[in-house]
Amino acid sequence: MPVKNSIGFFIAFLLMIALIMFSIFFFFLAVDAYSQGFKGTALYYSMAGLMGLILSTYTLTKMILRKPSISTILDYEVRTLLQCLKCGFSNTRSFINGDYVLGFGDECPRCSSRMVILAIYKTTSKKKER
Amino acid sequence: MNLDAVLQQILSSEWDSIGLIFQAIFIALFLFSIFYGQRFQIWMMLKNVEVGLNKIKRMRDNARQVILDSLKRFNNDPSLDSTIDRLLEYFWIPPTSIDPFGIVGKIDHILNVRERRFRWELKSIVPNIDESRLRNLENLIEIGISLDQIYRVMRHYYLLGKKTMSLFLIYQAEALMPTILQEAEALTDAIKSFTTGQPIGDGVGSLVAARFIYGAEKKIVSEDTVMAEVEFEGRKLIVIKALGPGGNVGKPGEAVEKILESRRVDVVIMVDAALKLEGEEVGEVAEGVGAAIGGIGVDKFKIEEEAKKFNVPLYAVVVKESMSDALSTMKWEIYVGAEKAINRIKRLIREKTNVGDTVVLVGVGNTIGIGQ
Repeated sequence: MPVKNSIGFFIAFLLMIALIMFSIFFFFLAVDAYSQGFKGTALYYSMAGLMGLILSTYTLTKMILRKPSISTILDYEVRTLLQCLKCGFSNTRSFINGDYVLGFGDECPRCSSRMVILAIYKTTSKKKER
Repeated sequence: MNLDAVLQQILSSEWDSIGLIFQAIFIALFLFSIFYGQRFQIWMMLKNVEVGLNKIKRMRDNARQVILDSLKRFNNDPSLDSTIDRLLEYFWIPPTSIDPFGIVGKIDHILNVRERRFRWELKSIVPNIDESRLRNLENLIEIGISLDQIYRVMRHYYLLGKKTMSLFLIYQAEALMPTILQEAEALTDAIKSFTTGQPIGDGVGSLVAARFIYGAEKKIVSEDTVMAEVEFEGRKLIVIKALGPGGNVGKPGEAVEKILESRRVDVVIMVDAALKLEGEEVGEVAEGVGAAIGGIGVDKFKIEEEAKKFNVPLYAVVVKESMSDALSTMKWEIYVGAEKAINRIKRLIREKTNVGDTVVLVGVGNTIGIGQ
């Protein structure tokens, strides 16, 4: 069975946070070295800081995006379009179990005959992560 | 020791010593990439496969739970769990293709046996259920079987890759994972539609056919398949579709076979949903020639055989949609596409047939949530 990413994920996460802090510290060193006239050293420190920052943010982003999300839950509304074939009155309402296309729906408010379901469709297909 | 002192101490070190440290780091990284680079790459790929596999597992478990809940509404037997697990592992063995002659008939036979057995199993679990709901439950279990199969196969390659540490095995599993995840997500989308009996995108062919025969007298032409005769601008239009509103695809091949064998037909028009390519719009309509029908190929074979036998031209009209659209509740764009398909079919009949001709129109697809 595949492993659950719990302890491994948090250790890697903490390591990356530590690397970010270390990189920031290197930037401080670089600024200080530059202000004291050590230009070469400042360049080395800034390079190290930049590399650390790129590596840690890249890895963190990948880790967070890769973290498995619980199965997609569909969050959309399903509408039923009804039309009265006698007087032409049409109406939409939320889907009710038992509705089917070309089946009979509610009573027409204008002429009291049974309306026909012309369409059952989803309005949005936004996927919500639980 | 304060920060200034630390900085002072570090900055007081020699230029050469800092350079040496960096060189040592780079050499270490270089050696690491030479000796452990591939292992690290394999480890990263395995992690990616593992994440995808976890997603598929959750989808499969979710599908199993939905199936269980749906069946529990009709039967509260405590042994239902094990029965569902047994049903989810149901398989069929395709016939041998060493000698391909007559293979379609053998596939047809095996699939019929499977369908009958499966239906019998389901009826024994929920004996007092109406046919329409029974078909929906059948479809729901089919989704569960597909998700279970996907999960098992991917788990097999993941564990095999982990065991052998074979780069190419793991590479293949990782390369396939995005498309497999897409397929699994599409199947997950279908669960809601099949639980509630809402029409799905794949049913657009059935919808078009149903629109032609609304109000006409229908009769069963083959198992789970209805036909009706209507008149369109002086032509006789024989429309075939699966029996709705339960989740059915019917047996359009058998129906066309029966009709073509029994009377003179001038044109066969098939309408179905087709998988769109990336960049194409949902609901786009295209037309061409040939048998527009998917599946294993039994119905396609039968229709093509009959069309060839009687020299009847086969025309196809398709409504384009993605796999996710095909399996989930119908989008409004697909209804718009169905309207366009109806107009195309009418134009096709006017252009390709004369007054007094007989046209067979086959609406292909799962007719869940679509009556007639």
